[in-house]
Amino acid sequence: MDKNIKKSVILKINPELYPLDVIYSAAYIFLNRAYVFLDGNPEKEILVSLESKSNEDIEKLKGEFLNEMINYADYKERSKNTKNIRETILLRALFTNDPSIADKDPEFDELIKELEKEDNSVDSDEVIAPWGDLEK
Amino acid sequence: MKIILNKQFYSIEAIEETLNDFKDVCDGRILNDKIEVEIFPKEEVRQLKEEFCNYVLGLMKNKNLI
Repeated sequence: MDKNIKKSVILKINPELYPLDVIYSAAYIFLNRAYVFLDGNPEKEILVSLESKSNEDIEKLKGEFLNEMINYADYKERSKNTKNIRETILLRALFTNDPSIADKDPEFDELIKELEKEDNSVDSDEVIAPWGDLEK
Repeated sequence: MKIILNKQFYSIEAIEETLNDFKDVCDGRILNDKIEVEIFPKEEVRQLKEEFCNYVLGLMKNKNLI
């Protein structure tokens, strides 16, 4: 076995591009393949040390870690962007299942009123109609 | 052997829990608020320091387990 094979690498990560929680998420994925050590300054520069547990190519491991960070950063951004719509869907589902929930929680009632207002403001011409209906 | 963990990345609770979970393998204590951890291996374990750090990170993921 070649003893000169590089087994570890230190990544310097800009926290403005990759927030700490994104780095944690990527690190968790690699815990079974590498020894992960975090250091540095979470405000300025985060240092991630990766040491392969096996004879895995460290450059490949590094590339996969960077890809994983992009993956989680994108997931986080999308979650943030779709937060309102997910909450709306959940509220709708809860309200449909049990309309009395609005009576129990005044805050919920206000939210439903807001949703109804949004519903009324939608122009019916903008709603996509099924093909069959268009032909009639 | 000593492990210095940056308190901005590692939680004290997770380290304490790790020390407890590793008690069959090593004794240890937290030396100061910089989170300097000293561990005394009871037997020879390969890459004990690295395994310790990984375990702390793993516990931080599963905060509910702590």
